[in-house]
Amino acid sequence: MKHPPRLAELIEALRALPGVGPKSAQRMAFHLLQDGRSGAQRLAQTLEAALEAVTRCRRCRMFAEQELCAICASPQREPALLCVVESPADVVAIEQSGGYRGRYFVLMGHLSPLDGVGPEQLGVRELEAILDEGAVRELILATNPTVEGEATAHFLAELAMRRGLAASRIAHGVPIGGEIEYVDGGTLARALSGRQSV
Amino acid sequence: MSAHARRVQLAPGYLLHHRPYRETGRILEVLVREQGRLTLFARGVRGPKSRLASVLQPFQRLLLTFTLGREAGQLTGAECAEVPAALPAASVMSAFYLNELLLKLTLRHDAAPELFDAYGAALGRLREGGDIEAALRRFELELLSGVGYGLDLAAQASGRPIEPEGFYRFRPAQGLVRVAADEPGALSGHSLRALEHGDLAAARTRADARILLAAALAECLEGRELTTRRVARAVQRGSHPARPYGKMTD
Repeated sequence: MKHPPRLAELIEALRALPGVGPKSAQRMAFHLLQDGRSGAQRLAQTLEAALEAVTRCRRCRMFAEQELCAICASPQREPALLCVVESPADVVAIEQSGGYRGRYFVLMGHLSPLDGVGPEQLGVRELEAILDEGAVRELILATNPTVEGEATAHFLAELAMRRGLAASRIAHGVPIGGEIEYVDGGTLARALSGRQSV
Repeated sequence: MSAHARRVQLAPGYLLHHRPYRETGRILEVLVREQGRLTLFARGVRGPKSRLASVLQPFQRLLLTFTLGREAGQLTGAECAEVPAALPAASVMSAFYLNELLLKLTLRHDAAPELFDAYGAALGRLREGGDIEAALRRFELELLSGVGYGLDLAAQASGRPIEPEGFYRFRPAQGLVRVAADEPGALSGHSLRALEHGDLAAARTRADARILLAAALAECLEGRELTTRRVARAVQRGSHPARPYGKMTD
């Protein structure tokens, strides 16, 4: 069945969302126009306002409405610690863990030689500028434990060490509440090699 | 499963490249010993509940279970075929380079067990962390012969043998032709003979092998860029800014 042009356009636009195929997009569009008109109004306005106002933090590249995000602007944060992560979602995850008081730098990806993603695309120049200011004492490398994430961590560790800064890699191991029997060999090997004395 | 689907169980293979597919899936480019290079859809392999996320990593010998239909195949299972061992950091960029060569120069569904074994051996050498440059040159030679562009290092295009005292040049679509000793980029006959025997000990042999293989690969690549080379150079510059154009090992 052919939809009216504006409706077809709305369905097509909703497909920009992750995991939304043609079927779900059509369901969403029908809902918005049928029962959810006030919600749709609000969605349209907030989306427009967010696009206008939300940019990237000048320092850490996290989403922000001011030039600096709340974490970079906060005097409560430990300026000597800088944690490097791959995505904004990683910042949220670490913040929710509640155990970290330093600042962040978001790479928006990882080194991916086969896709042509190198240091330039990851904002390494901006990161170097922060390190050269002299406040950071330790670079915490919290990239993903994948081959690409490890390569990225290694590259950044060299940047830090060349400046005489400490670089540390987050630990990898058995999840809390997990059972060793079900942990994969690679993780278990890392857990053993990274064991700590008690 | 369509009538044309064929199930392959626990086939030795390597993951060459992967990209996200929908919310929790990946599209995999794999090199399978008996089936060649394949594209496989892998559903549900990302996210918190995936058991396969830690298995589906590049540079690790795997045992892959999948179905092959008329379109791209579907991965249904994967296991590690060897004890997982990380590559030394200095070898990782070179290993990505091997993968890019395989992705750009091999055809899909073109089984090449010798090439598969050569790749495994090259990864083994990179894992040992010894002479990376020699490991790359050796694999490049094996790859070229695996994809039907093998270099004849014993004879010129004319059929005459390569003389140790002579000087040569690689001409696309022809092969090695004799040139004057002072021609820029001339390859020494000594180097070609040494390379034929896998002996890359001498500095001149290494330099000549680099020139020869770069030219031969460029012919096969038909103008396509090797992005792993560009990224490796940028990483090298970032790691050693005092040597902005330092010698690359690839």
